[in-house]
Parts: sequence; structure tokens; C-alpha cells
Amino acid sequence: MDVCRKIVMLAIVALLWCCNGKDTLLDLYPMEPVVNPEVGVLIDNNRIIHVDFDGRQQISGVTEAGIFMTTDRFRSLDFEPHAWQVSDDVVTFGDGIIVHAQAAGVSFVLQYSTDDGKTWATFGGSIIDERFLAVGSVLPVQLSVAQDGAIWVLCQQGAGRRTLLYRVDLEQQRSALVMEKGEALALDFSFADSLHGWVLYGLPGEGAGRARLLRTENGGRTWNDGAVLEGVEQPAVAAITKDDLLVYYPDGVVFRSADGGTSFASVVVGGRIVACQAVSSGLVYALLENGLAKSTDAGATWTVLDAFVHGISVSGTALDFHGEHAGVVYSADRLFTTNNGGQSWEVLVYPYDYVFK
Amino acid sequence: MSWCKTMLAGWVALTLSVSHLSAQEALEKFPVFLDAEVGASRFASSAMHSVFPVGANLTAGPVFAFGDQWRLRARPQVGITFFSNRIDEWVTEQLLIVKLGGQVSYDAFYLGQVTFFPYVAADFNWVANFDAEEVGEGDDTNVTYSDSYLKGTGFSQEVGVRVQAREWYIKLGYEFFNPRLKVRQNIIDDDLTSGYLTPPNHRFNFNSFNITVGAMLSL
Repeated sequence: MDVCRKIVMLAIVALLWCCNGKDTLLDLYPMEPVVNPEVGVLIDNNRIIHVDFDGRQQISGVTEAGIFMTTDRFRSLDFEPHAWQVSDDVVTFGDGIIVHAQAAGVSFVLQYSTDDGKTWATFGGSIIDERFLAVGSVLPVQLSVAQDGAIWVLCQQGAGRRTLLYRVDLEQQRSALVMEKGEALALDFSFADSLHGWVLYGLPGEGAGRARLLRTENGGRTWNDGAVLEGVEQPAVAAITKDDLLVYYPDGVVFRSADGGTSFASVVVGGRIVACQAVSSGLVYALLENGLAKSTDAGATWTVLDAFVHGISVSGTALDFHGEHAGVVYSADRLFTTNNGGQSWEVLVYPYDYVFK
Repeated sequence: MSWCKTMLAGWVALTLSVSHLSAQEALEKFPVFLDAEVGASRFASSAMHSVFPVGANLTAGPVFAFGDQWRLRARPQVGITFFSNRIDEWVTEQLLIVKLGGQVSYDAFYLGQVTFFPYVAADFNWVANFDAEEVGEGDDTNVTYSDSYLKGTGFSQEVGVRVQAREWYIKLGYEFFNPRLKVRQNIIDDDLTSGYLTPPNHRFNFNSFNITVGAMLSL
């Protein structure tokens, strides 16, 4: 019997040590990827250029290598390869339209696409008046698509010789000069609606650090001088309402006007503003270098949102909100969305390692 | 922890009450034996036995008899089941299950010298999954154990048949065991950093086929 016992013990020990398995028990533990690995097609040797969010389920956009669309928050996505044909030109994205200005000789041509950049049409008429071109080249500085579909084109002639603002009607193939400012350096512009808008410019003699404001209340027919802002460089303007606007700078300084730009007061937003969007007359979102801030009183006071998801800080270079609650924040390699005004977030695209495999 | 205490107290109470009853029965000559058995376990699911092809089990407990001709047997029991998976030359993954429970068998019939006991068993189990790493060489080899990657508790049930000839027996059984195991928090955190969502716990299929050889020893 003693022999039997030893044989049994030896057999068990041999079984234990000879039959090694594969992997580990932990490999059987379930885990779900935070983002669909298929979104790698958008950022692997590619980059997101623009995202359109319909405010519900549909997210579409343009990447350098093609266009994409999802109706289920990237649980599945359609990707159509198509090379982005716009290089370093001035470009803007509107509702169903992309417009870009391409330098051509002493001026530029305006091209637009209504199929996410697959095909482009060229604005047929001449935008810049001959009298300006006769004295020097005019380059586009910034474009914007108005609510009625018209295109605002901010231009600069020479280094401080003249700032011009044109309104281009693509449908009618007409353009009209709405602002001319001599001895000015174009910085930025923004319209709250079809009538109320502002242009930021500098004077060449004053150098950087001082910005001046022009204001129109009638769609550009007449312009009035606004405030002069000191100690600022590379300012941007964001229109909120016909009376409220923000002027912000890369160093984090933010000024707010509640009287249409006549006077400004400094406000604390909570970080450097990367992009800004007024969703309604009171509600404004500001995408910060690190996070997001929200104002419910037209920019007078701000709350920095606790914008984290799965340990990642919500960050990006652009934002697109529809209404108070639904919006996206994105950059070249990431995309976040919220359905509750930024209280919680979902990460839809992110450069995790497995996305690149 | 309260679970563990409750289980332990229940098991002690069961053992005492069974031993008390058996003591009365023992007056009618049936002795108390000690069952000691050792055997092998193989998980039923292919996923599990691809990790741990086979394990060893060891169980012991006193046997008390009741009923007509003492054909009903009750056995409070303790046991361990141990699975091992060599990951590399130095590291071995281990799965340890400690059991506390009881088994009831019935002397159903016999053929010659061989008696057949169908049995059912129920145990409370403590499960831990960890690594053992050998450090050093030769006589200086030491084994260090990692913290548990997975751990948890759960009830198991086993059904089978015990075939006994004199004091020796063989048991063949199937164990139903689906414990919910918790994963270590830092694993959840590391997975999240890598872009994976890991649930804090998960129910595993530890159902297994067991074969054991044992002896019924006189006390």
C-alpha cells in the first residue's frame, strides 16, 4: 500500500509540473477597449481636420486621407479615402460647405466644396477691386461662413497698408467690399449675426501689443471705432450677442465687452482659450489649453468644467456644440463628446497604442 | 470577513452536531473514520484548462454514519485545490482554492467487495491567483509570492460516485463552481492608462472534473 501511495503522489506531481498551460488566468479576464480600434483609420498616418456634429448621433468629418461618418458614436464608421487637397491656405468650414482661399498672383481665388472636399468649385468673379490690386497684392487672412451662407473674407494688403473685408455671395457669384481700413493690420473678425460684427486690427506704427476694434451694426455698411486694448498680442475676437463679445489672447488674458465693444473689462476664464463658441445669447463654451470652461451669463463669469474621462483630460483645438448640452471637442488625433453640457464626457477617438496596430 | 466567520462558525456547529449524533450512533458500534484523499482536477471549460491543464486536490475530514446499517455518511471536510502554470523559467502562476464544507454519501449498492456511494458535496471556497517567483540558485533558491491578481469567494457543489474496496476508494465527480473574482485595483488602473475598461469583478467558470484516490482511516 505504501508503494501505491507513492505512485499516486508521483503521478499527481508529474501531472502538475508537466502540463503547463498557455497565457494566464488574467488573460481570461474581460476588458473592453475604450475606443473602437477601427478609429485608427482617422489618426494612423492621418489626422482629423474638421468634425461636424449634428447634435444627436451623427458625427462626420474630414481627415487628411478621407472623409468619415458615424451614426452610432464610432461603434462603427464609414470611411471614404480621399486626399485632402487644401494645403496651407486659409480655410473655413460652414454648415455643409468648406471654403478656402488660395493665393494666386497678386490676389487669391475662392474655392468651395459642398461634398466634404471631394470636389471643388471656384468663385467665378473677381473679389478684390482692381484699384487695390493696382497698388499691391492682397492676401486672405481669415474666412467665415455667415448664417445666410455668405462668406466673409478678411484680407490684408501689404504689411499694414490696408485691411479689407469682403462679403461674398456664392449663389449669386457676387462680392462686395464692406470695410476698408487704411494703414491697418488685420488681426481677426467675428459676427454675432448678419448685422452685428467686429474687426480687430492693429496699427503698423504701434507694433504688437495694441489692438483696435471696429464695429458694425448694419452688416458692414457703416463702421464705428471701438475700444483700444493694450498689452496684448495675437488677439482673437468671439462675438456672443449683438452687445457681448470677448477678446482673448494666447497668454490667457481675456477681455469682455457688454456694450458692443465700446469698453472692456478683464475676466477670468480659468486658462488659455484655444477656441470659443457662443451657443446661445447667454451660454458660451471656451475650449482651454487644459480643459473646458462654461459661462451662462454671456461671458461675465466662468466655470472651469471637470472635463476628464477615463483619466484623460478633455483637450483639443476646436469645439462644436449644438444647444446647451450636446457637443464635441476634437483635435488632429482625438475626439470627445458630451451630452450634458460638459458634466460628463465620452472619448470616441484617442491615440491609444492599440489604435495604431 | 463576516462571510468567512459565518462560514467557519456554521461549519464548526455542523461538525459538532454531526459528531454528537454520531457519538450516539457510535454506541451502537459504528466507529468514526477519517477520510483523506488526494487527486487531480481538470477544468471543464477549454479556456480554463488551456491556462491550467490540470490541478491537484487534497481533502480530509471525519466520517460519521447514520441511518439503517449506517449507510448514510456525512463528512465535514477541509481541502485545497491547487493549479500551477509555469510562465517562464523563474515564474509560476498559481491558483489556490481553499475549501471548507461537507459531503454526504449513501451506500447505494455493492458488487462483491466493492461498494458504490453516490455523493453530493457543498463547500465554501476562498480563491487566490498569484505568481511564485524563484530567486537565487541551488540551495540559495527562495520563492517569493506576488500579491493576488485575482481573489474572491464562492460556493461550490459537487456530485459524483465513490467506489470503495475495503479502506481504499476512488471518487469521480463533477464540481459546479462559478466564483466572482475581484481584480487588483492597480491592474484596472494600468488597463485604463492603456485604453481598456476592466470591470472590478468577473464571474469565472471553474467547473471541473475531479478524480481522487483516498483512504478511510480508523481513528
